[in-house]
Amino acid sequence: MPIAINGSGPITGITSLNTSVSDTELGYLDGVTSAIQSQINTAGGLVLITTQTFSSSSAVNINNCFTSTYVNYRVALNVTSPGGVVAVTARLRASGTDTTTGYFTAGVGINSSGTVQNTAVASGGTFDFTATPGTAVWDFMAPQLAETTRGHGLYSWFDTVLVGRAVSILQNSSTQFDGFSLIPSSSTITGTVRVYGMKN
Amino acid sequence: MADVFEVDALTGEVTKRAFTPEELAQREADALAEQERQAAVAERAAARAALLDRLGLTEDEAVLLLGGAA
Repeated sequence: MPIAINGSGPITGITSLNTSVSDTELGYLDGVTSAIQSQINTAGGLVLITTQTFSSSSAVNINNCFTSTYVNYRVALNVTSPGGVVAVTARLRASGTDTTTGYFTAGVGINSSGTVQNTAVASGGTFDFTATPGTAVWDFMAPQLAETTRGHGLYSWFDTVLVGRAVSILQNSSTQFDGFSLIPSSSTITGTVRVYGMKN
Repeated sequence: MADVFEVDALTGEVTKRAFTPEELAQREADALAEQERQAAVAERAAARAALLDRLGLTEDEAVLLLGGAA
């Protein structure tokens, strides 16, 4: 298989995996690596915006993570405690204030015993993000634009059984959101949340 | 103990603070809504159990037949 020399052609002199590579040829490989990295940098991908670890919090507010820099975002959450099942709900927010109306939710779920646990809410005041102890990955589409915000989440939690859900939400307003809040339905939560921007 | 963990993702500044009065009021409203939601779930589960009883089916048989509780 030909290998590019500094992006301009094959490396010569390699006839088997046991063939040694000269310093010059290694330099070419370095050049190829840089070229590939440059392509990766200018192409799409996730860019970490913030990582936050919180402990025994009754609410977690992430402000100014949705900006004009990116259109779409991914949020990854790992909540390690409390141990019992506590629902972790969420709201989108703008200028430090939660929006408390207009959340539509539709999703399907099932637990490891085979029992279906679907979710459906029309115009609720919040939306389910995950439960404890559990994880979630949510993609939010255009939250900072003046149009309806849509989100798609996969989340699971484990107590005596594993529960997994795939859920879509719609926030039915044209509010330009710049953040979100995580709200345990009771108790406090401990964990880590990461927010990524999706490069165009 | 601080109630709220708040971060500004632009600056990285983290603030740990108590709830504002408005947030406390919202939290109480949320708790009430959650109680109502759980009551509705329990009511639906009771109705399901009553229906299965009328049909002479066990929960396991219902899961086998229908794929689980909706």
